[in-house]
Amino acid sequence: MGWLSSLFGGNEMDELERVIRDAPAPSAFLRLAHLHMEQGNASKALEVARKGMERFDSADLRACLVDAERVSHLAEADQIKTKIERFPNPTLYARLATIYLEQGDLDACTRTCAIAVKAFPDYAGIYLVMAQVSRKQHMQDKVIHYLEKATEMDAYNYAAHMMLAEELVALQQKGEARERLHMILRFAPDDERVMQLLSDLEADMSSAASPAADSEQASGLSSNEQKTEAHKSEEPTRHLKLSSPDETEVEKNKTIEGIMKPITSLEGVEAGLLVDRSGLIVACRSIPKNFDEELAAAVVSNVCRAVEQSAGDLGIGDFLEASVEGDAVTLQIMPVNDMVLAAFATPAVRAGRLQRAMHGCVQELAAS
Amino acid sequence: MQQILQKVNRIVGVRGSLIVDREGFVVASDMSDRCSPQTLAALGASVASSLASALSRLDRGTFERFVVTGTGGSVVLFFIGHGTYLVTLLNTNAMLGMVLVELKEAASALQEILSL
Repeated sequence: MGWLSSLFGGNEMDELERVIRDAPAPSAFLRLAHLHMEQGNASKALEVARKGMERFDSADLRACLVDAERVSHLAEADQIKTKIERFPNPTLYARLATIYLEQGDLDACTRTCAIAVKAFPDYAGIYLVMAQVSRKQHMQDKVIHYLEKATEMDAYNYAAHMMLAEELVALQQKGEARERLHMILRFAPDDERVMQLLSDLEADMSSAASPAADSEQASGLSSNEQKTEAHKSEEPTRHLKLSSPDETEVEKNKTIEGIMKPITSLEGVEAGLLVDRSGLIVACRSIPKNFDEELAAAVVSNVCRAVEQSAGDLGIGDFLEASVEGDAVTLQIMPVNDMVLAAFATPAVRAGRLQRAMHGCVQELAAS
Repeated sequence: MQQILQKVNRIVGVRGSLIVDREGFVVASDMSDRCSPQTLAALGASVASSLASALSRLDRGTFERFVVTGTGGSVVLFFIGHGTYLVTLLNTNAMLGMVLVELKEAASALQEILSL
């Protein structure tokens, strides 16, 4: 009977898609989303409900959207748990914890973070999630503590610096907030959001400043600048160590680097990096001396973020790949699941061969 | 400049092109497409400034070209000189190799104009 209902369901879905195309109505979106849910396709149901909500703000569609989001998140959480069993990796823990957080299950989120911190103590990304949970629990001291820890471990973590700046503004510690925003500009120059926040902050501070406060502020600024300089010189030599207490996990991490070998063994390739969306290094291979892999990772994630933010408006669809050419470098970037694979090479590299090697690697990583 | 952009837009698969400076201001544009020149300019300026600064700090020379490909098209960014970039939006049917050759020529022509 399953195939029969699927057949009838399929016909009805075709008809509903036609209705949505020709004469869209909230009921058609709602019914189509429900049919997708019944067939276990939560992500498709979510897509239909979102499209419906864009056109019609109906209470039924909103409820359907919430439901589809919940089911889709649960399905994703199950998939991540399976992946963690086979292939433990800190970004998976962070994603799982984020899903629990989005679902409002703060206990499960906290438990997942605790496991992740124990298994991967050097991964800054999990501290960011812990800060987000603490914010939900209104524990501001902890929020600041975790964010400081995250930025200390990863000086190029955009999201952590940004959240810390916002928290500091809320605490009226505007000088420190400004310092954090300037730190972001060091690796994401001209970032629109940061520039806007800085300009708001400056305006706010100058309007609030009295002559006495001005002198205080001036001395505060110089001390902040000194701190920034000091921070620059003692910037943590952050390196995401994927090693965990368990030797099998170390083996698995070696496997990621093994998957990247066809890229880094190509003539002209200097370095291969696997980076998560916040710019943290998940794996790296063949990094030459004096190559700042953290900065490279931050650039890669910045480029991805800029592209993904504009891709919809530009009508270029989902981001597939990007390449950068300079007079002394070729950089190839490809998204893979919730991460980004990047290869830095000299201009002498055969672009076609590099691209093929990257595609192969992306497929293997996606399958793993 | 406008003539060069019009010539660029006659290449098969090109949806529109513009020249943007490093601040994100549109210097010239010829966008036949529905897409807003400001969105394209913002992407161009943001990526260009980020890459130029990072490549310099990584001691990897200067930035010349950036190509991003999506499921529905591509964006190509060429450094022209004097802090300006030629940004071109392409369809999926564009022959990227050929387009890049043509764009390189257009970038050289624009560079000459800007040097005057």
